[in-house]
Amino acid sequence: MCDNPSADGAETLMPRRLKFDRSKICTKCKELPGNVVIRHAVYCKKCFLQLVTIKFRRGLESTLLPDPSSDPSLRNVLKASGNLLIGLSGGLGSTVLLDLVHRSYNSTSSSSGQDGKPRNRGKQAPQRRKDVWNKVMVGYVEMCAAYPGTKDRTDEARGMVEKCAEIEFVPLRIENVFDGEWWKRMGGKGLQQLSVDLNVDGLKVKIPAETCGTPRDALQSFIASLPTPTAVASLLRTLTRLLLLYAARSTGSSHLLLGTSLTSFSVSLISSIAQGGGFNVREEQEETWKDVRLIRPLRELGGKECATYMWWNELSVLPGGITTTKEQGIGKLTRDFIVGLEKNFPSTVSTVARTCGKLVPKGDTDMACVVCERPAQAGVQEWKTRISIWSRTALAPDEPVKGAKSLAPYLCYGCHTSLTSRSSRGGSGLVPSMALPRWTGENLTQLGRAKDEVREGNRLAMKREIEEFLIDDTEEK
Amino acid sequence: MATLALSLHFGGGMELLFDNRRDHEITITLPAPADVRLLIDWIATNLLQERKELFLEGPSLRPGILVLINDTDWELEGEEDYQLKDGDDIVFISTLHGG
Repeated sequence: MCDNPSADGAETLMPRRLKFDRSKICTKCKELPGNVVIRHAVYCKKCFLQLVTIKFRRGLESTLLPDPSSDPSLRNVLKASGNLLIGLSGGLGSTVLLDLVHRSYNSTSSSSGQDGKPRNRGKQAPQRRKDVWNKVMVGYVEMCAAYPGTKDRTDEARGMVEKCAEIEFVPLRIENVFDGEWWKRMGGKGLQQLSVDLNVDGLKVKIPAETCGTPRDALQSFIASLPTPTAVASLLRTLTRLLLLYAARSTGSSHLLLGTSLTSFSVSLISSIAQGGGFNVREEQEETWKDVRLIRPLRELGGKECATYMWWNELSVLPGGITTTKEQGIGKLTRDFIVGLEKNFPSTVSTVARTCGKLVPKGDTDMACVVCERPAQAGVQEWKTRISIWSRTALAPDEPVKGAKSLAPYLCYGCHTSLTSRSSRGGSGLVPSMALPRWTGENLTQLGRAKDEVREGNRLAMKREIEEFLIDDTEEK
Repeated sequence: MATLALSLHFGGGMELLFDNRRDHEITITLPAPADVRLLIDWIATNLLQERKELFLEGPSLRPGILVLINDTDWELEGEEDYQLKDGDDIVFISTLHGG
């Protein structure tokens, strides 16, 4: 007969699985005592460091192999079509990423390990990884303008990069995205700063009568006018990603690498879906933007693996991050949830990433959101209007607000939600008119031109169909 | 009571919470059996300078902080139940410092 577990009044807990399987001996070499437990498997220090390097290369090198059908002699030759830009925030992932790239692909360091002794990689390995990119650069985005009161860490970041020979430092600032000069350097044409009125249905776009001040002022008005802390964190992430992508394109880079670990990757997937970015779940994993491939080669390595690698290789993160990052909202809640999950159920986090990897958005699209430049699902406004009341006046789908262009029809669901969702606590939307990043104006102009061309094409096609019924002007006379 | 000399190290940005010092040599007297649980409590009371919530969650260490005891993951050593020995080297590394 079964016992009633609640009979004694004590809480019945599910027995917790041991943190490691079998013994404390390394599961790989089966000789040395283990030093670290990674998802229930025990590794010694030497095998762990090798494992990290293998996982990193596996994540990256699959994107560097040329198509064997084009030239069979190039099989197994690693060669990129352009330069490499590494996105550096100074945090754990990007610090580890910079070190791994430097050790694996830098021509001077590829032949020796940290102790100066030659590495046993086989005869061809160092040669194979030499000169994969013509130039390796690090793009550091300084965020102090977004968090007033925090220190500018550009010099510390430069010092970090200078330790890696032959890697060039590319300083960037988050406020660059509102800077006309920067936009001109990126090859942009529309030099007029646009802003959007968040209090008007359909998000009316206008050219402000007065300038938004310096790019820093524009960034601060952008942040102040966003309705929720979640929107601030999400849009700052979008601005950083695009700033790095534009920098990658302008420096002739074919690859942009980000130090997103498995933990951060799972957080960004769940958080993005929760904020309405489900249609872009593929782009969260890997994306190609205007011939630049954005890759996250650490996405098989959890936060614990990155931290252990960092400590054992005597690396340091940039000071200031742990207390200056004042992330709030859905992103922070998701991070707390995933990190808590990882502590007791470490394998579940990789399951999150694997499951999201199987998701395919329904339908295809040729439209890109003018703010995040990721694919945008058609008919979002129509659907949103149908299922919810989000304005007092009904706005027909794709109908521009009278006398001005509306931004809403050109946004993806996620960006539209970020700009329009109101916080139950009143929100922070202090400034109703918000400066838009420079690329938005150009994207809107191009979309408008494309729409005009389609309209003109439709007019001509219609004319052709009814041509035989038309009375010729000359005949009438 | 046990008197122990320990080397403590903080990494991954956590040093900011400890007077911006990465390494701390301490000699402490803890009631026997002196385990890591008692050490964490001692650190929170005596060494931590700011933002307790970034180090503790309730009475335990906050998830996302990796602990190495004598260069070995504390999960192999019994986590908070590990009995401290004189001369132990203990590292706390934050994994929460972004990407």
